[in-house]
Amino acid sequence: MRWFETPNFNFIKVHKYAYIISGILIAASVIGILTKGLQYGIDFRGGKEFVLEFTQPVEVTQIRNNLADPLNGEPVVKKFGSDRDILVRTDNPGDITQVQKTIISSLGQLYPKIGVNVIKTNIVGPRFAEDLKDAAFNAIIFSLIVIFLYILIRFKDWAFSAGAVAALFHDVTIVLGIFTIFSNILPFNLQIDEAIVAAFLTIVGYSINDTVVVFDRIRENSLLYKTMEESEMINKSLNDTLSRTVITSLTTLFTVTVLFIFGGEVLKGFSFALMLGIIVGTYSSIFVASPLAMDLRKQKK
Amino acid sequence: MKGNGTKIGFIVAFLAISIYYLWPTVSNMLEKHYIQTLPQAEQAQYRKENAQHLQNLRKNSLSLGLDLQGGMHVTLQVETSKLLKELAGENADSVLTNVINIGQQRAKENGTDLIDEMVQAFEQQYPNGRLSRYYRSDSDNITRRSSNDDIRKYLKKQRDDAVNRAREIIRTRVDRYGVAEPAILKQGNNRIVVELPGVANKQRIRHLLKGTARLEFRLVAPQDEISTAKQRLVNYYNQHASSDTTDTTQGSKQNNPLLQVLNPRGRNPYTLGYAAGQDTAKVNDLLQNSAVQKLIPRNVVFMWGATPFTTTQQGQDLFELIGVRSEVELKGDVISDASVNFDKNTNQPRVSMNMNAEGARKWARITGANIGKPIAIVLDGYVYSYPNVQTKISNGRSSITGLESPSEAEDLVNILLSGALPAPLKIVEERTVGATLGEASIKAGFYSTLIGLIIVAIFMIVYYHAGGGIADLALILNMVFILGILAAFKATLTLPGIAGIVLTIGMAVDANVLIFDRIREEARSGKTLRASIEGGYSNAMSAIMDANVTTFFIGIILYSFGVGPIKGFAVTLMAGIVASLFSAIVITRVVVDYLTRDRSTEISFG
Repeated sequence: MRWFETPNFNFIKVHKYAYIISGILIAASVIGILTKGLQYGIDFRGGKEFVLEFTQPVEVTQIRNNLADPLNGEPVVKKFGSDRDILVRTDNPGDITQVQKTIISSLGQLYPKIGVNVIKTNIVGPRFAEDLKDAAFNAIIFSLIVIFLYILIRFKDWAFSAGAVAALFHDVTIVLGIFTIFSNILPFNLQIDEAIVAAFLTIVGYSINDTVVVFDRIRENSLLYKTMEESEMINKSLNDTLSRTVITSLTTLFTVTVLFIFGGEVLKGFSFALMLGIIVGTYSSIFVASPLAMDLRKQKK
Repeated sequence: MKGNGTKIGFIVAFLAISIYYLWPTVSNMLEKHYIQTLPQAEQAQYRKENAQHLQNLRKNSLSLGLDLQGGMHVTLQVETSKLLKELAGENADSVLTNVINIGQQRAKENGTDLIDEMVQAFEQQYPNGRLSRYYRSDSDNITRRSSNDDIRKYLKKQRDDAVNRAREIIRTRVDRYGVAEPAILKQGNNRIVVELPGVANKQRIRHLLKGTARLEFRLVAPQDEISTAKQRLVNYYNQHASSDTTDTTQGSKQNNPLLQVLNPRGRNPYTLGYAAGQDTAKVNDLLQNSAVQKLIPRNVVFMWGATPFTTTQQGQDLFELIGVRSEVELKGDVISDASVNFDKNTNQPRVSMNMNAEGARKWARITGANIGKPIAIVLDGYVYSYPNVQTKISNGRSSITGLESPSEAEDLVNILLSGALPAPLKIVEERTVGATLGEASIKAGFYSTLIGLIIVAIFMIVYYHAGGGIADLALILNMVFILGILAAFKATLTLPGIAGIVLTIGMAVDANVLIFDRIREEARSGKTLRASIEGGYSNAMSAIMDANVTTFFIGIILYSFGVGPIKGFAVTLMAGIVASLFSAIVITRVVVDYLTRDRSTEISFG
């Protein structure tokens, strides 16, 4: 089977439109993040989180209303996969054991005939959460710097470095924007926690992978076709690598989708971030990174 | 075919090593399965007979993270600020407290070391002052003449010692409690990470880990001082009523923030009142206020009862707030022995303690002077009981009552005998996963891997025909290599780690996609199959290397930033890159070369 045997799309011609689309998406993401604020999960904001498994299906709103009083403030109550598994998060500063007891005894009164079991807890102190947040932020910044430098050394042209890193910013911002805007709309956890940051870094790694393959072809073609117009040569490189870009994105997207469907509730947000990242990352390596590198090189001349 | 002998040698060696390291894991799984097929009665027998063998297998198996096998992960923090105050002992004054607080604040804001910030804060405020007026140590050669820099080094050393000692003490406690294969590690300069696989009883563990075992005997404050304090506090909060409550029908109680959470009618005159478990933190906040602190008599402190004195019908636990003297009459370091027994009359568990000679002498004096008055037995800031002294006790015996269960008594003995922690520990992070959730995660991970593998394998065959089949073979060997690498490096498999493997399946074929696409391209330009293959492999190389090196960098960064499960993800990601590079470049090449060894054979790349 062959797709894109000898494709000849004019990517460069449409790159201005791609900039506009990307610009709109980034603007929407930034506005979303600024107005709604980043939706941090337990790792980065601290608090106490309990996942309860009931013997029968229960009602989220009922639980929320019944816990508000004993916990001195309305807790976050969500489904954790099925109707029988419920996540409760509270900022009550009390002793862990006490808080857990309070929750269990209040729910015992609400549902006297239904058994309940605590299957997972996450308790993160506020200071510890700050530390985790700082570490995550540093990791993302550090990885962008490393990539910028690697590409600079490997391709000896800061325009490539800048194009690649801009594409990465593009990817992370858009995925972060989608996570923020849809955080309470989609039925699974879309909060920014350690796992999501790991997913972001993986997106960074994945997207750069795609970009580098194209850059590599540009470098090769620039030696082969010395007389060719630069935009034409870059367009040819994008077409040359198109089949590979699409196939690898597809196989990776397959496996990440499998993870999203079968990987259980714990990995839902993580695999969703990867799905988005692969789609956005593939788009950006074709329509953002290389055209941007080209525009930057033009300006330099 | 040149040089393929070496390549084949590498492949065989790599495979053999992987299988060698994976063998215990596989046979452990087989044994488990075998034991389950045995009749119930014979299972225990079989386990007993082969205990050594089974334990060896478990030890050498690929270990599962707490998120997969269930268990508890706790990060404890040594409270440096308290340690600094305690090291100063009686020399501590408001100046020191102030610079420690400033240091703590700055360390928090700048993410720096509290000790450095504290020394700096002191030097800024008192350019000519010396910290040596607070800290002395003969063994560390810290005298009045020591410079601030020496003090800084001394304090850091003390903190290191405190963390190391705390780690040893926690290890002793965990061992006595009986946890299989615990991991207790130092993290950063003031944290200790404790990983306890298979632990279910979280509450006991929490107490066990953070209990400083600071046992104190204090006099209970006189009734009139407590009632005065109560009067003043209620009045204060009547005047500083919370304005946000508009409901006036319930009278002043609704508006008095203290009375909202604290019921002032205690069951005896030694208490300020009682509160429900979840409100105790709020009450503490209200009492922390410095204006409020001035209303409380100087040598009275309020401490919560360790266990609820009663439970309401709604299942709320109620705790007393007891007024005790701020002076400590006797400390726990005089305890020479402790054991669990039961009160003859009430059948309640209690911990009986023996004191050494010096302690017994003091104890006799204290009890003799306070007959008929209550003495509070305080452990880690909580009052366990405050019985009235009946007679002078001269044999150095004492006991702790008011314990919830025999297991609590056992843990208390454990803590008392393991030694006191050098500084208070705080739980800053705690994560637990139940065993059933862990099992569900293993299943989910396994099916995701299998389904992902099948889909990618089918796709590759459909798209690249024979070439795809070869890539699939490499992919399967790749799985063996990844697991082999993990087992060899004694890495822990976590749920994100499995996710890393699934992701690797998708990305592992990338190198082959690059190569095969290149081969097709070369073939299109009219080259022979052999020449196309040669060109495809060599021309794709630079792109493959660049792409994988960058991803590997990300793996390293993830590994150094992440904790627990995320580290597991980083490890599988890196193992996946190494393994897939090897299988995609070396293995497929050998197979392709073998299949095209004579010129007449054709293999299809789709």
